[in-house]
Amino acid sequence: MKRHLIFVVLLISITAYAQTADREKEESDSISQAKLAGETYFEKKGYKGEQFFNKVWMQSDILLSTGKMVLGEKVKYNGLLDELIWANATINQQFKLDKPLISEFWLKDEKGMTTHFKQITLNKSPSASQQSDFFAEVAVEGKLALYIQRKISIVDKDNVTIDGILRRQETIRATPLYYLKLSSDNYLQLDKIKLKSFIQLFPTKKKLVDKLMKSNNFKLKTEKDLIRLIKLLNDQETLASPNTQNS
Amino acid sequence: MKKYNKYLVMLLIWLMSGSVYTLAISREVAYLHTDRTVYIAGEKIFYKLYLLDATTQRPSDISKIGYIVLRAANQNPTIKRRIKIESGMAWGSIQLPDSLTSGAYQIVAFTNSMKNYDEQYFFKNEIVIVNRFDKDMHFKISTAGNKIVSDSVDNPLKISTYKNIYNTRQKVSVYIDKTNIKANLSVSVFENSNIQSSCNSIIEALSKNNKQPNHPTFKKYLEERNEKILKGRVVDTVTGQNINNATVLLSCIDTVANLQYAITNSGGTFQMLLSDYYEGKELFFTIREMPVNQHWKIEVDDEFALHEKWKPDLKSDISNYRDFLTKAQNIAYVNTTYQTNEDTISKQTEIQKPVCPQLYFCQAKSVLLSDYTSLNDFKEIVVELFPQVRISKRNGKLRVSVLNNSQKMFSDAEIAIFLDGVYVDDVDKIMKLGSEQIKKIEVLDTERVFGNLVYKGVISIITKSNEIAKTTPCSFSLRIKNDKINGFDNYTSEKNETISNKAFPFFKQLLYWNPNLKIKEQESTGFEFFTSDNEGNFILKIEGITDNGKPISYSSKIQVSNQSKSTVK
Repeated sequence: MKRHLIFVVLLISITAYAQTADREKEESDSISQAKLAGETYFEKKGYKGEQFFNKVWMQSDILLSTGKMVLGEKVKYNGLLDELIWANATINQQFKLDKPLISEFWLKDEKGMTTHFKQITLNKSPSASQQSDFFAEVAVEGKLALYIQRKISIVDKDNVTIDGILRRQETIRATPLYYLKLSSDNYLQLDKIKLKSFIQLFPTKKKLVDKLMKSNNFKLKTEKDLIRLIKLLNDQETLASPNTQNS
Repeated sequence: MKKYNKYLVMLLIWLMSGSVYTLAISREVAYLHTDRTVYIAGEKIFYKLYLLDATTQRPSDISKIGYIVLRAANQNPTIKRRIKIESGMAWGSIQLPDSLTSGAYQIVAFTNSMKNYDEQYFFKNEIVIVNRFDKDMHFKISTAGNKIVSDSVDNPLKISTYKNIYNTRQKVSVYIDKTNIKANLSVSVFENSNIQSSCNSIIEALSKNNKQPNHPTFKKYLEERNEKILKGRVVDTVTGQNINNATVLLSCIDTVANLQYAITNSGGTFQMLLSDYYEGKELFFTIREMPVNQHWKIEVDDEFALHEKWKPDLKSDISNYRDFLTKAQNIAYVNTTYQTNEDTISKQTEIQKPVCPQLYFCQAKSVLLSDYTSLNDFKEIVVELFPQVRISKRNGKLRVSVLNNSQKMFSDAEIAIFLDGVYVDDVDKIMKLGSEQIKKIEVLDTERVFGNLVYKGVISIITKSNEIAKTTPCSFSLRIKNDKINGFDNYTSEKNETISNKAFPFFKQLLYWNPNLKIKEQESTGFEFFTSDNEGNFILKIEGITDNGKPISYSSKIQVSNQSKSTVK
């Protein structure tokens, strides 16, 4: 009997403690959580191929341009539109978030792997009208940084018959673009993952690149190789800005 | 089994004490060092606030905002100041109005998180303020005595001056010997009034706070870690009941539509974080989608409110101090006439542009009215310039709707209207505005979301001369001024020209004030100041805290007398 009484008191105190802590946290979170803004999103369907970088909704932390952080919201990155889509669980609706509001975001998959995206601004010409803003995955950060724009492009248009109706179908596929950010804050665009293209951007580093690839026994063919090479270059203290033109 | 029970009881005790501990660890204690305890109305009170962790007594890094209230006995606060705190320290000045009546006043200092405990744990001290023109001085004070100066036995600092008696307008050098402690101090040198304060030193203040208060089970007041927390409630004016689940909107005058909102909890209260953006601005509150025929109103808590009135036992007559107070009045009169009152200098801090809580960040359809021929009212503007906007009348009430871009139809649902950045719930408020008044109109014709609020569209009108100031934006609105937070400012010492110019009157009761004297390990330090033509006994008072949470209190006397005068005698 005495033991049961202790159990009951224990249970009550644990519940009360948990409720107090939860209530405090909830109250504190609700006032400090920044607000997301955007417009209703209607997904255009019927593409042949996948328009989202992440096919399933992922929990994401979002750093706003206001400096505030929004935690644990479900989002998808649409590579075709270069837009971040938000699933608002409270009102059960999807919204395209205002791009200038988003500075960075981190997509977290079920396994706990995180993909970090940043909004990049490129000055294509000295005039501000030639500015281009887009989201890019942060592959490597350091003296030399690598950003990958997870672009999805329409590569083909075709007329197809679906359920007896003739429709126009667009084929889309991933067409990533690679941007290297120098310590001078200038960006260089790498057209293809090829040693020749890379050396064209860093002509003075040819010997170093050759040496690093040889000593580490790999060739520059895939995205993984590119990431590895940039990490190795960053480890070299002698890395200097190349004398190449900005993109 | 007995052993098992014992463990269960121990676990229970641990859990219960745990809930108490979570609250206890964040308890803060405040000590306010003021430059003096006797002031003449029109002078400045210089202060240094020490905000310490009650357990470790180290500077608290939790609250970044503090509150100082000055009040007379049985009166509402006379002066309220919201102050910025950095790493548990804050210093600045409070200008006393010339019109203050003579008497005993209480100065109170606290933070929002300290409100979770009884008000007896707030810092409180009694000061005396005398009106410059009060010749009768018929008032009483609660404390009196001569216990002002006593070298603290525990004082880890060795503080010395060359001598104890100084000539008028003479430099005084104070030395602090090398020590193995790091500390942050505040120093004041002021004329001894012999009126003892109720809270003399930081050691006294901390020992008073040693008594552990009853911990609340729920923290009603959150710590203001970066920004001010505004607390309020929605009340039904008929039944007096608090309304839960009501959406309270906040916006203020700006050139962009801005919004913040909070939803009332089960107790009918709401809390909002007010960032730097809202400093010194007028805040416009309203309730979204209030049910028809309901009489709700928004009430906002006064962050300075003290629930207990100050009811001191004012028994000590000031007749013993009349000479001192008359002298203080005369000195204040001379300084006001010759404009030699204490000046302040603000601490230069990197000013970051506050971020506006914009409703939207995307490109809107924007029209500058000056680009078109003059149009008489908003209806004419809509007809001529915004085909996607429609104004219609339903049940005798005007409505604005936008053509939904994706659905290609006019929606009946609510669109958000902003006038000069402020949310407006009635289109009638903007109908009379024409090209004469309006500068720019922005329209968003897509369904928009802001947090969990959805609007079918947005119209933002910016007028040439803030028309919003002349109107009531919403049927159920509350408009309050959010006073600017006080930053760090400091006393500036007299210029050498003033001191060397014998023809210029130089009378001071406060000879020196330094709120931020840092003591470094194994480094001797010191400070200098000048005596004035005011002869008398002065007190050198040092308060502070070491890096490991040990309070420091020190006081000693110096005398100022005109030695050339005595030589002549």
